[in-house]
Amino acid sequence: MPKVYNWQIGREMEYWYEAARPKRQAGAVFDTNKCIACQTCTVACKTTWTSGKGQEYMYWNNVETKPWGSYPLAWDVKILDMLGPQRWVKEGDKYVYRGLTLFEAAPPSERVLGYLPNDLDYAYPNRGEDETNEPLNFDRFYLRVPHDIWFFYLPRICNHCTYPACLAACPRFAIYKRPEDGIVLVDQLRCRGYRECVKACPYKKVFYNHVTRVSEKCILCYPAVEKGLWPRCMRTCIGKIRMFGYINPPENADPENPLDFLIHVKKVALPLLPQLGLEPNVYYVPPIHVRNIDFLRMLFGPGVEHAIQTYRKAMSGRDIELVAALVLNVSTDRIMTKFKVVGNSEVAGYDENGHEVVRVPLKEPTIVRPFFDERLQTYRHNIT
Amino acid sequence: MSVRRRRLIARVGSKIASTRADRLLFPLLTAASLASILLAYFYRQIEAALKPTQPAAQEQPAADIIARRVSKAPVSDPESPVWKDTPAYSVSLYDQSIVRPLKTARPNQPITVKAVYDDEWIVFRLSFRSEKPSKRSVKVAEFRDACAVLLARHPAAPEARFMGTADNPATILHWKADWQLDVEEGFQDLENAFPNVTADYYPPLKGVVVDGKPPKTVDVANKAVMYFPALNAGNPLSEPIKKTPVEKLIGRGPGTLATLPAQDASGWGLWRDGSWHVVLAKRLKATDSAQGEIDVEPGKLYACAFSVWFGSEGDRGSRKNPSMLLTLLLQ
Ligand code: SF4
Ligand code: SF4
Repeated sequence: MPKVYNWQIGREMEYWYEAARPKRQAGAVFDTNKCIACQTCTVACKTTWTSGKGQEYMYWNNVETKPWGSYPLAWDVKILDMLGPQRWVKEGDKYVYRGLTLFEAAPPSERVLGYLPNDLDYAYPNRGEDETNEPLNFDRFYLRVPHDIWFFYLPRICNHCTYPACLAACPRFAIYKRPEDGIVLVDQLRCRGYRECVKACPYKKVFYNHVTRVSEKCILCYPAVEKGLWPRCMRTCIGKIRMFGYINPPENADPENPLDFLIHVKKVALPLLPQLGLEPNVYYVPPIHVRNIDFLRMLFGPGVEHAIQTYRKAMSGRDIELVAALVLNVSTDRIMTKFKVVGNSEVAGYDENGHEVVRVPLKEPTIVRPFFDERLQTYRHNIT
Repeated sequence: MSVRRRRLIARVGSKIASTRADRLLFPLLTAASLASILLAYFYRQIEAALKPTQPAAQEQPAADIIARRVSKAPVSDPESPVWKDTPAYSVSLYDQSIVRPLKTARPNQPITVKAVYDDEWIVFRLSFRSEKPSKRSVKVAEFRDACAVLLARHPAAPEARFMGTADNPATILHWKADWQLDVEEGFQDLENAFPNVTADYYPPLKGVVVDGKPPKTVDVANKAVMYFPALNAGNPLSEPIKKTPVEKLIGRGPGTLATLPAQDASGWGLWRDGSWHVVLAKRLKATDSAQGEIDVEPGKLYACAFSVWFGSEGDRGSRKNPSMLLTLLLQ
């Protein structure tokens, strides 16, 4: 198998094809600290792309509560269990994954280590919702930070991976990664419903259509992206947790690009299960109040502690630029390729032509309205 | 064998305690009799080899499978009396160990192949064991039984048995149990696999959900084709109205399989007593020659191969049991 470089695991690895990075890679950063599991993203996607017959069970975007939630059932636990215990090793100042990726751990007859879910696995899309890591009891039910009793929300879409397992697994080249933006698509005409991709994708983000009998997946709203617009799940996000744009590999990181800034410069946004070896392109700001750091390390890799410290520092007002990059989340539906702090109080975002597409304050002004409104002759309460 | 020798052997074989002399004599005598049998055998072989060769009654190239000429070939009848008088060829299936994902298991029984042709059609009849027939592929983990005939020009490179080669395209007839069920019982819809399914709304189809039940796909597919992406793209696998269970395809190597524009192949499968008996037919004269479909003519040799997919074993695509590349002659 050819060798490719996966910067997320800090080493070369085996992949089915030669490396072919796209001209630019579409991707996103999700701030888990802000997600409220309103499922607006899920519904935005559902009504846009998967409301047809045969697609009922599909959620190209889903939001699960960690640690207990998962869709399809136990997707993460199952693949981690199949892979077995593996190791990250600190070499110099960086961590290198010295375990096996899904490509390297594949049995000789397969291209990727994977499993095919069954229908019941898809039957509980919101299992574990709002369930805490441990049962609540009075002894421990008081708040301190990080929280002893915790849960957090994990919104998930296809990661449009740099080394997609779905693409590698298809024996008839029906899945392709667009060279212009790295979006991974299933060719609806070429697909013959073998479900090798469904089996191979560890994130379980390729789905079999019961009626058309071929596979389908998130298309990252490419018709919008081609027009410089954000995908639907991103621009409708109520919690403003999402930042969409283009991500460069670390050696070409552009500190003015909000995604590169969050991922490469500040290292505050981390890939989901990087150890699987796919170099996923959706990044997560890890939840800062979860006490179980091992759990977070398992999900987001060894950069978790650094990311949490960096985020905390910014939230306490000691990193204006990072705050600036984060408040740009869902501030516009135009794709930004640059951002800049303006006068220590605002942040502006620019599209690829250098036009300013948005400007927002770093801190929203606080307006205290009087308890009694003279003009309307009425009392106000609980209004923020 | 002499009476004496036979008597000796009988004695040694009996429970009567043998003498020391017998114990020595027995191996000697056995070896001697074996040697005389072998000598006789070789003599016959040598005699046959030395005899002048007789001119064959008909000059015909030998072939692994010979298609018999009939007046009317049963293009979709596995039970036609024609098959009774047609010679059966036993064809072994192997593991698929060339293109990953592989299928490492292989069936322990060979399949039976028969072939006939008439003025218009060549028809194959494949019989293979399938204890648990798998006829549907609606659910995520459901895979259907299938079988295929591959035809290419002779001589063909050995690798042609995997979907042909760039310069020797393979015409493939592919029978699918799920397509047959769609023809037989009507489109196997969502509600066939999930009888308790409920629905509220399918945009843009106002009023199609009655009593919480989804509409039949065949009734709505043309009105909402955008909501069936692969059907909208023209993928034949997604077509809810099937005319035949056999698809005609062209292959130019692994991963290149493509459906052909003129879907005029024929066939039918019958499952009985743990076995499928499937006929697959194509016209002698190719209707898709521009795309590389092969013409088949009487008296000529062709390369052919057979494959079976066992749905209950999760077979699909490259997970299959193919035969070796064989030769076919239309007698
Ligand atoms: S997340 Fe899964 S479906 Fe998406 S590109 Fe990666 S392997 Fe393919
Ligand atoms: S819309 Fe935003 S806040 Fe709501 S569930 Fe989705 S990601 Fe979370």
